[in-house]
Amino acid sequence: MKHMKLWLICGALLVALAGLAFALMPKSFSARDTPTALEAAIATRLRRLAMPQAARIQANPLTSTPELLTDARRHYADHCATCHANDGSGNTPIGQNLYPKAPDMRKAHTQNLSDGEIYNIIHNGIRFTGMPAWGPDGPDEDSWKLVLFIRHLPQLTPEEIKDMEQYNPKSEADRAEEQLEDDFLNGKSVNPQPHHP
Amino acid sequence: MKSIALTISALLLVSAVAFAHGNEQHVIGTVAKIDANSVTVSTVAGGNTVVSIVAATKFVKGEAAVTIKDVKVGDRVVIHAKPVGKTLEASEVKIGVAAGAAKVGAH
Repeated sequence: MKHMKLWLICGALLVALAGLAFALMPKSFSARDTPTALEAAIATRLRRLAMPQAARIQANPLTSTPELLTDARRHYADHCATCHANDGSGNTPIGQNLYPKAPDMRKAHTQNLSDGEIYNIIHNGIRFTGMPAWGPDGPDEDSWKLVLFIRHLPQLTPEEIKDMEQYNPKSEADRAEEQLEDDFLNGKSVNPQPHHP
Repeated sequence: MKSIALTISALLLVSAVAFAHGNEQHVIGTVAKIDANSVTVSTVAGGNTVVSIVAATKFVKGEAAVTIKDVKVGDRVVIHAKPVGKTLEASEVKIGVAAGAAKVGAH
């Protein structure tokens, strides 16, 4: 009788575990899906657990100045905006089709992270996401500058975004198309070329 | 134990990095018709293209952010739009600062 009870408990536990595994298991390997709230919560918790306390509490050795912010903003426009967008919204063709999608870094989910956490995410990347490790071995002043810029994102001005657009990576074809559009908007006659996606 | 938990979770969360092609289309021409939900553009390439206006659509004139009320028939526009089903949805409408109908082809 005692053994029977034990078997029943084990069986119930197995069923519960199987149910949990099924709920967590990706239903496909498509990157179009959005992680469930449970999956996102577990992943966020694991990321936090995997980051040593000493790294989390690291303070930014740099103090924000207009010069540093400009430097970081242009660096971000060149290296980060392809996925994260100039305004940090993540609203780009790549950012919105990653799994998980690039976050809106102006919001609490990112802004509530410590400076040390943001630095370590930039410097070391995050496994199983589209976020690569950008930092070199050793000191990484650029990543600390980017932390300053990410803190500034909620206050980013349209003028700053306009400045960033000059630093976004673009092909010759993109630049030619942009020029054609500007010419057209400014009243010039244009000879339309097929759009290169 | 912690490493086992991390491994199991990692396997559950395994995902691929995707690089989208970016299928946004650029519609260039003059406004032939406009209402609250769509704008019809007489394109420089020839023909009319209807683009849907949605809540997220941004309107820009020169450097300034404007609204749909600032778009008039005859205005030069460049619309960045993404295909949604069989329609085009505008993400950004750039309005020309120059008045008059578009001339096509000649430099």
